[in-house]
Amino acid sequence: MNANKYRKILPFMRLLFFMGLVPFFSSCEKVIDFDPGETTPYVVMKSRPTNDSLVSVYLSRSTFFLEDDYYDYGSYAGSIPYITDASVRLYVGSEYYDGTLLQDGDRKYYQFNIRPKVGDSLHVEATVPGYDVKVTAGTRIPSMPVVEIVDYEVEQDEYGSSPRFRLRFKIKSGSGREYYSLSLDRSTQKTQMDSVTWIWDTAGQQRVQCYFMTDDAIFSNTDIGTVIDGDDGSLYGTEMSCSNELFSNGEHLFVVEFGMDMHSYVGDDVSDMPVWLAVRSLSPELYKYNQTMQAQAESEELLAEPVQVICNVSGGIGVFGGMSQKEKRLPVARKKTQQ
Amino acid sequence: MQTMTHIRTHTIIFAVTMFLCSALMAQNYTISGTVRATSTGETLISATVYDMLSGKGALTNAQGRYSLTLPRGRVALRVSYVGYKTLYDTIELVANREMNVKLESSVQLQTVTIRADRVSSHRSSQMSAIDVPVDNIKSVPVLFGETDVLKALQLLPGVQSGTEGLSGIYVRGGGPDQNLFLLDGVPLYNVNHLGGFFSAFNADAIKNVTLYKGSFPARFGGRLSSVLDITTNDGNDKKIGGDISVGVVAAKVNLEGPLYKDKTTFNVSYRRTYFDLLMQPMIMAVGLAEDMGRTNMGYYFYDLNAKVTHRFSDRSRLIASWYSGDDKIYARVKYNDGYQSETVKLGYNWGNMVGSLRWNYELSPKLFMNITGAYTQYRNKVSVGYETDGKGSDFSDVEMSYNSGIRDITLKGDFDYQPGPDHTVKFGGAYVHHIFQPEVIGLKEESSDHEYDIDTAVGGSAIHAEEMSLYAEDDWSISEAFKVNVGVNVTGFAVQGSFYPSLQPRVSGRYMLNEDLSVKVGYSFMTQYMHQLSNSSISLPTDLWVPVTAKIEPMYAHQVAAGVFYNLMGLVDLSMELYGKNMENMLEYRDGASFMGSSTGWEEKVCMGDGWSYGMELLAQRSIGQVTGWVGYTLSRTMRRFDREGQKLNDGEPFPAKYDRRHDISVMVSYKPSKKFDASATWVFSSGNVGTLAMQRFVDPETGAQSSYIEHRNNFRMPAYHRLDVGVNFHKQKEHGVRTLSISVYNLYNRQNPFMVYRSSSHSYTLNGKHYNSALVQLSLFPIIPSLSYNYKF
Repeated sequence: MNANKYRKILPFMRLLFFMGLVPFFSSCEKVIDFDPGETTPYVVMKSRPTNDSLVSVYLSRSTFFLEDDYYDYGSYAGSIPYITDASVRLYVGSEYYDGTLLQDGDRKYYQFNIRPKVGDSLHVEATVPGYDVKVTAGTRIPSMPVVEIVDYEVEQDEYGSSPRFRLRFKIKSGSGREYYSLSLDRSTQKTQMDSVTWIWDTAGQQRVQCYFMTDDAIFSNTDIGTVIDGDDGSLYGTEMSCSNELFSNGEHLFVVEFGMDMHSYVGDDVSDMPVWLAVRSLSPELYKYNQTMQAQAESEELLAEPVQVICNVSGGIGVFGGMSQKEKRLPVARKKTQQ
Repeated sequence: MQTMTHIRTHTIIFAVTMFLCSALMAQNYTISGTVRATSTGETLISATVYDMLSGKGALTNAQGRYSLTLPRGRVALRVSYVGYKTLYDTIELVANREMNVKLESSVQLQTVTIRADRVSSHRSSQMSAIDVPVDNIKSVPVLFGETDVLKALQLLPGVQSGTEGLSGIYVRGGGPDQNLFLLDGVPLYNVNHLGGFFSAFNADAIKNVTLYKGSFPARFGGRLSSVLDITTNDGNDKKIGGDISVGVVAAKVNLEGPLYKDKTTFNVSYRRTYFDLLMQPMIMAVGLAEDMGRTNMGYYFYDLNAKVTHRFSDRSRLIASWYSGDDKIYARVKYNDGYQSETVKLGYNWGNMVGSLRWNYELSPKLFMNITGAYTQYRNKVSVGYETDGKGSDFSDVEMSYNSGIRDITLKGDFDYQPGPDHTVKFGGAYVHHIFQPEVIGLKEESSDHEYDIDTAVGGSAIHAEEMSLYAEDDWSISEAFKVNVGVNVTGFAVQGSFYPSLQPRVSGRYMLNEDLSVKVGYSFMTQYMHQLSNSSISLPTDLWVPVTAKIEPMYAHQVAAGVFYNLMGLVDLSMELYGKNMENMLEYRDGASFMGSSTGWEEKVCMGDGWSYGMELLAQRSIGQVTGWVGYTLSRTMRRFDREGQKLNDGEPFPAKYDRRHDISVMVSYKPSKKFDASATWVFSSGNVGTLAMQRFVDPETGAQSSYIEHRNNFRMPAYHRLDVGVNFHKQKEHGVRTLSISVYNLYNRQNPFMVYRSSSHSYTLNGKHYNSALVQLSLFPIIPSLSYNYKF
């Protein structure tokens, strides 16, 4: 092709090209009309009845997704729209108990004067003014987990400055599907709270981060090494959940390891700072709720599939899921910190 | 246990079929030969050779060969093909004879009206199959004026498009990975360019397109939902000719002709986009103005089809085919401060390569053989690099890459056997060696002191798998009114120490209620041994093709279909088909999973479940006359259920599939009043896609953790989609050929169709009298788009 012909074709190709660019610059946004169905807030229920502990039920309201982001408070409970005028009744077997509204700081909840036992079936009903339908849910307190400490040790590094704590323990499983949550903490003492027995660090200003380390496939999809500390607001709770999918009717060895130099100054008068291991058996509904809440919190990738939080509350959302708990205290002498 | 039940049932069906087939031999003579176009010498596929006296007929196969066995005596042959003048001939059949036929194009005969005595779809025993003439594909007005096979197929009932502008197809509720794309009989894995905006098929290189949506003949297997069988042109055996096209986004050239007259022909097509070439000066200028350094970035794709056909004799041909197509996104920014230069490099590269060698040989007038050896490769690579180059000899070069791909080596044999006028038997087998390379991350580092030089790869090791298949089918005219196609496809897949066998019966039947009205039923069982993992609706280069493994089982589909077919006064084909399809072991990503940024392997990111789809398809099609086209309507429902322990989605409850659409309407009209002018228009309407939208947000009242509440997966349906496209072509005879100027307008009435929907706090909205400071907003991609293209055919 000679140069003259080329010069004639080039402007034509440029014209075609700019015609091709038009759509890329003219894509547009448009508000659409839609039928959302129900815009009224749902009643949100949260309760984790635990063996031998008083039962608490939290009630609040959801918000329609076009509402303003007024409740952007992370773990700050002050603006949670608690429901305080509900009538809540708990059935344990054939007996029932009415809830009493209590307040702990900003948190408000209904408490029942009953400590359920392992194997008890529980059913809760909440009548909320402004809602025609009762909010109901049921669960069962699962059997206690069987935990055996194999060994634990404090391992010094070559400089003696960054000791590491290593624990090995086993969970023995029944033949059916069982669900667990594991949490680990290092604290100076255990405090008995009103409703649930918690491992509670009253001395440290921050809690120790611990990692569960295992290469077993059962945990691979929870991302090995999940931080079980809850300081990061993006994580749900302080627990790692798992099922006995791969060790049904058997036992599984867990290895836990963490550095011991991460806790803050707590005073020289504290000589012992034990590690607390809590293993909880979860009802299926609580396990699913925990897992999906955790997965949704961690799902930040643009192209990730959306995560649906699995609830078991009829007439509302949330979870009413039983659990039973076993704790192990592992004494560890505390190295005095320098001021 | 389920597999054993399948095998027992299918063995019985197979035995009965073979017994019935044995009753077919009779003393007759056979006419066989090839049907070609006079002007180009191209073989014509599915041309009809029909004896008007006995009422017996045959269709040409994929190589243009036919074989018709008839009783001794007078034969009045009628040979016809759409767009060609029908040929009549009377012969006295006293021995087997070879009879090659050449048909003249009706367009070249100066006739304005395209007429053909064609075998209407209502007479065929095959149902749920559509032959789409390439001329029709080329006349469909499309985005940027780029002719696209898959976008034309999206206009057919039962075939749905994905998101706006994308060329992926969803057939009868199946996923985009459940379509088998055969290019000259060899599978093609990635059929998309530019994330699916264009398909990999260059219409200039194509001779024939047939889509099977169900009732699959036994010769096809390996995918659940559809087979798209594309045959490319052999090449003109008379003279050198071709096409040159320049459009808005791409230029194409097609060249064909004889290498050795009447013996060897070639056909070469090449298409390339030129965004990158035209934008380069602008990008460099912006880069320098913004002090970004010397910038070189762009995107292009190309397709190259090449085919050489050598005819040893009328009975023997050797065909070598080649296809390669690549997409490439590249960016290279170079900074230089006078002492050291730094270069940042980014590259996305993906594409197919297919090579095949085929030998067609007529073993006898009744037995035809086709042996194929083929190599297929699909690969993609994403790479990021950083390079420094100081004065003197100091330099460092670091590159990270993400690779995946699949390679197949195939050997197969196909045989056509025409034992008598009432039977057309096809049988054959194939062996495929697959090499899957799902995810490999490469790291390469080189520096001037070579102290830390690395060249390593980590990730999934290659998975080797062997796939074997055997098939047999018989198209059997039991009586004048009753015709069946029965067959079986037996396959086995060996991978990672596991072996998955499958016996897949196929049967379809037609009963003529009168000359113009028939009813058909069909059943097919399909097995698929590979999956494509796609996160979003857009086909990305990072989509993985993965095989079944010891953990991941094959997909299965049972499909039944029934239909009524009516030919109205020889002018319009009307059909109504009902179908139901059940699919097992489909894969979906788990909630929260993504193909990016995870330390876990792909098997951990997916879960397995089932799906089903049912619906009704109506089609009215006119292929004769100045005005041709069709009107199609689909009413359908497609659901998924993932309820297996540890693999639940939507808490195990059924949910609508992503492309579940209740209504789909398509209208395509083409008007050809003269040789100088033709026009076409398409209008499509479909129910909106579904998606997942959290309508409520809540805070865990105990812990304060925030969350969105999704009632169920795919709970929100986007607004309906509709669009009108029009196009006109002006043809002018020039000294050495025909010039065509094409003008098309996409989305003529500028409908803003939804591409995606999201919550936006930049807008406000009033709902039921309540004002919100946020709104639900849709993003639309394509407004009205005029296009212009120029074509010269010589």
